[in-house]
Amino acid sequence: MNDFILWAGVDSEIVGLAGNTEFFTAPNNPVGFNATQTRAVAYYEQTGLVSKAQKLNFAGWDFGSDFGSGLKTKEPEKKTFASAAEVRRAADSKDASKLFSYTFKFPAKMAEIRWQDYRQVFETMHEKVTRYGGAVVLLRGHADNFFYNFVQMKRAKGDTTYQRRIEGSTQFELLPLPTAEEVANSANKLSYSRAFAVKQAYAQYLRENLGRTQDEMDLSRFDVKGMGISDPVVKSPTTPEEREANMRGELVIIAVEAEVPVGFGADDLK
Amino acid sequence: MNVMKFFIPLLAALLLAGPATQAQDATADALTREREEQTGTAITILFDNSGSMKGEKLQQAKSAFSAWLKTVPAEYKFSLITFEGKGQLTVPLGEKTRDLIAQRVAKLNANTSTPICGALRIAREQIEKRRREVTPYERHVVLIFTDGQETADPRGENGVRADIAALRAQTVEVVGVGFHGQGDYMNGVATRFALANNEQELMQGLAKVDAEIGGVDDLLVSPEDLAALKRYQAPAVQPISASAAPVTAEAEPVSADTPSQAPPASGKKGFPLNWIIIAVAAWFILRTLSNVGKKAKRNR
Repeated sequence: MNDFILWAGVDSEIVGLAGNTEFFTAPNNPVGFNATQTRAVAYYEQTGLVSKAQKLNFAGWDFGSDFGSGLKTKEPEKKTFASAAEVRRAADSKDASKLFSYTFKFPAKMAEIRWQDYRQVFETMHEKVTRYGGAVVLLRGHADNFFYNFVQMKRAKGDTTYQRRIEGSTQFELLPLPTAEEVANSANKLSYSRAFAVKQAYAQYLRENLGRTQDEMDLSRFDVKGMGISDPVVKSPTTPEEREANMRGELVIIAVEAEVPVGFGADDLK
Repeated sequence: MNVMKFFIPLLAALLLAGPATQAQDATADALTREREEQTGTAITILFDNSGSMKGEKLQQAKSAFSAWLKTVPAEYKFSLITFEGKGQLTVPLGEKTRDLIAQRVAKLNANTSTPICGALRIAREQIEKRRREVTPYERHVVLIFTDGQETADPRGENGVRADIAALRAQTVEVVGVGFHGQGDYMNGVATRFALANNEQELMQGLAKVDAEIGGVDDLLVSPEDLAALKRYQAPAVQPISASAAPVTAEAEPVSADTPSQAPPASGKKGFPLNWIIIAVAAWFILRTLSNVGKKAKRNR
């Protein structure tokens, strides 16, 4: 039975037979998928071919109106993962393998990105998460540790003040030296915001580029973490380039290999 | 007529576009809200209502506190801990609690001891719970409004200093606020210290600090400082999400296929084979020695 359903799907793709979303999804269509299945199940049970027939699950495909583009995978309406802990468990499983990674750069103190500036990255990201139904997206934001090191070094010297340029001016003002926890708190917030900015940009990409509504977005597979200053690329940065290298958001997409790609096609079955 | 020809489709387009735009904004708004909720500011207030605050002092403290509270953004989350018993969580951390705290403080009577350490412990436990269960990325500030000394903990002032240092080590900013020139033993130990009659100092106690600097010329770094920074070995820092992880690890699900472990040989319920072997060996040695002794006696 499973083989039959599988090949029915492949046939649809090969011959370009259009599906009808309404046929599959409308619950009250008297000749729709739901009603047809109910009749088929009743028939199998009445004729004694099976003692108890199980209903088939709806695959969630949107065949679309364009035959040329073939089968399209519909975005899952239900959340793939119920919680962030589930996402982490899947990412840590022994079957997990890296599909794609990218590092976003941020200017100092900033935590905003536009998907238009990274169109190719978001296209690849979308292709991966669509094709691999169980794919998880790990986002890790980082802040530069130069100022933290500066504060710690000054405190170790016994200094209690420092000089900072007044915004929009060439003048400096004498300020009390902040404490380590104040800078660390700020870094935690900034780093989390950088990681989250990637998730926000992906949602914008789905909405503005693909026309997805909120219900058609599955953002449950994202695991967003702010790493603060805990994992700098350059541990003791002193140059602008070294500091910039630390201001980043890392994207890693992990697939659980045991899973069958959602968007399988005829080639996958040869 | 021509005007109507263009106006009607335009109106229709606007009507159709309206709900779609709203739906789009809803997604963006939800994400922005999530981001703000995760990274907000939470202020835990420890308000000293001990017997030493009785009379005019308490009224002045309430007045200073009320004036200060009005200047703090309402979107911050607030909590109130007062000094009844070993410290009491009067208002738990939550949204829209600023006005409730103002009302509770206005009604406080000065009739307790001064359990600053107990109140700090409640604050610490509440922050740890919130970091574990809600978000580790909030900025936590603990404000201690007091006029005096610890009276409940045998460690006294040293206990307060130690507990403040422990909170700071957990990336919690602790701001000491003294009344009537008191509480200055927190100066230098707390993240900031201010006197309640100095509104400017009070506001500075809550001033935010940037984590990063902008251009290279934003900071005045002397050649000596730069040389020291090049030599500086940054200590390892744990990410806040790791420090907020639950203390007890989640138990791994046990598969039905997992073979059950054999009970240990020396377990309480297991068969004590090794003890029997030792007993038999001891009996055998004693018997041999006894026989040897008897034989020697007979030979004599």
